[in-house]
Amino acid sequence: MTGARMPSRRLRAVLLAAPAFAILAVLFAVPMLLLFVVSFWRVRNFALTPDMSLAAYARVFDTYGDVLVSTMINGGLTALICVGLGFLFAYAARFRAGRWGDALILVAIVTLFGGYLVKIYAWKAILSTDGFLNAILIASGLSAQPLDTLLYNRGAVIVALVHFLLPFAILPIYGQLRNVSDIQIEAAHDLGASGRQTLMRVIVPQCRTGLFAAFAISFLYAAGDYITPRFLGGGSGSMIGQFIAQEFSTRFNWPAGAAMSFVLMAASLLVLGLVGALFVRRRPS
Amino acid sequence: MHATAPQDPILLLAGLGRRYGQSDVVKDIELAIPRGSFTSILGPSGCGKSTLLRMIGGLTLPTSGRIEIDGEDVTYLPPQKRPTNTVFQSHGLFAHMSVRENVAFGLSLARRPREEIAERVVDALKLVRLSGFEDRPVDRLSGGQQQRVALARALVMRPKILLLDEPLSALDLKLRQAMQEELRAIHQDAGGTFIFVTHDQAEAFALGDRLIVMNKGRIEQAGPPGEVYARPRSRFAAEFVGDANFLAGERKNGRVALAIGVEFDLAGPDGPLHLMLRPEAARLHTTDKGGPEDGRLRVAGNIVEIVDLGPFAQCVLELEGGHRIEIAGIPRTMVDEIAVGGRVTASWPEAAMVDVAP
Repeated sequence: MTGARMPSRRLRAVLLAAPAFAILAVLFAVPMLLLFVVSFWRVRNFALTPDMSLAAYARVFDTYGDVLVSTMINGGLTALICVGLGFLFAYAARFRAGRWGDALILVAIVTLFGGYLVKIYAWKAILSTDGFLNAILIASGLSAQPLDTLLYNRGAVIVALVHFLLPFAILPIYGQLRNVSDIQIEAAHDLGASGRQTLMRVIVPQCRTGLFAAFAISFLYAAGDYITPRFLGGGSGSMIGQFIAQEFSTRFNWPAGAAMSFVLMAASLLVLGLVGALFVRRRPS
Repeated sequence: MHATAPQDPILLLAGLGRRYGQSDVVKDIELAIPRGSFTSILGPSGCGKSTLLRMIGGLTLPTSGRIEIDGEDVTYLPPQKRPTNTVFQSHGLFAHMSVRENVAFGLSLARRPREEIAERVVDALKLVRLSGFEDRPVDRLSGGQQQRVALARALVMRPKILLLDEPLSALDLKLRQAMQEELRAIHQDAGGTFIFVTHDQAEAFALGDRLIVMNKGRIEQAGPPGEVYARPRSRFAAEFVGDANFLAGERKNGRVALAIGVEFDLAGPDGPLHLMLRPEAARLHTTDKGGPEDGRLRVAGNIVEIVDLGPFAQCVLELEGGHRIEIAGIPRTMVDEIAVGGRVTASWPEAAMVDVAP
């Protein structure tokens, strides 16, 4: 029984969670629900007409199947590279940088101040035919004429996305690496583990959820991005987000855009589920 | 006997030192540890005892000297190649593993057969009285249980030397005393050589059959605990292992005159000297009966303080010239006869005083 003045623990928990819950409900769940309904509608004479049609979904697979696969590949590669580089950086900050570890992480976060579009334009400037990289290649004699294959492809998109997303991948991994004590590392060596065995059997298993979080954040962001591929993607680097944006804006085909969004979401969840099954092992209980 | 090296030592340290920048954390350690012994290394924090232990285990490399284990030079071998295992102060258990996986970790790295690992893990957990805890995650154990898992994890490797770096200092007093008893029993059951580092004098005496007192990176004294207590060689060692009175005096032609006003014969070179007297070595008398011929020194003084501990009491006596000495172990029957301000005589055998370096 609770006193008259003290709200019960449950009530207090509800009150504490209410603002965040309200924001999520109003700004995320409700629009999602509306979009889900719209994805079964049709467009007639530029007007949305309620319907129970799967035509929009059929169109996604007919028209955008390849782009969807390509998007998953771009997102997956971006996320894998972010997790790999992020782990190396976080590992160095935690185990090799001594008391400068936190400072290194701060530096990684500071790069976020660069802004998103600025990074895209920077990569455009670096990779274009009259860009920075080509200037170096020509000046050093490695190439006789400027390469036009650097920009407008999958590679350019992935490079720019990794550049932007790396700090987001570093943070969760570093957070978990901080829970692995130096004593654990020493104990592992003391019990006969080489450096590699310590890494694989003591360090990596203890930051599994951090690695997965890093993968999930990078993957979801990359797979849903439509700005980077528009500026740097060209043909092979195009991603489904661009076409979703098109359907909503210039073509005014909301059902198509909504259906594409949900297919993208389902595909992303599928990828995350598969990766999660690999990353996260259930602990003994 | 403490000065001579034991026959067939398991561990030999020669000129061992560790320097960080300009400061010697450990310096010129010469030490031989007998096979099968339980050695306590006792010293204040910062005296270099943990660094010494870490050098034996290979977790810190020495900057000078040599380490031999069982006749083999291991000075620069990494920890994974040494026949030693360490139990750390903050256990360092692998948080993502069960009790069984923690204890089996070293054996599985050594690629022992599955049946052997299972059997040895069971035995090790039985030894630390944690049978039945095999499948628990280590973070759901109490502090004492975690430390016992750490102990089992090291013991299961059957190290030639087990190194214990203040493993009990994070536990509360009751648990610590229980674990001390268990450690002694485990040493007897499992055998092997144990080296135990602590800053707690009572713990060092309770555990070790050999005691090493360290100070400022050097070994102050090594020997059986009783001998270090009764015959300390320095003022530091005398004070660190117990309470002590220090009596200043002057020796001339084999006759010592103490500042507290007594004289007796003690062979040795002329000059000033300091004698240590344990408070419990002296006896208190309300009436003085004996004479100088019984080999005891006698001084008269006034009681300025009495601390009644129940079964015994201790008191502070002020002698002629303002010198004070502490007397402990005063029996219950005597406590009722004395009072602060009362005049009494204290006596102690001449042989109870030990010449210590100032």
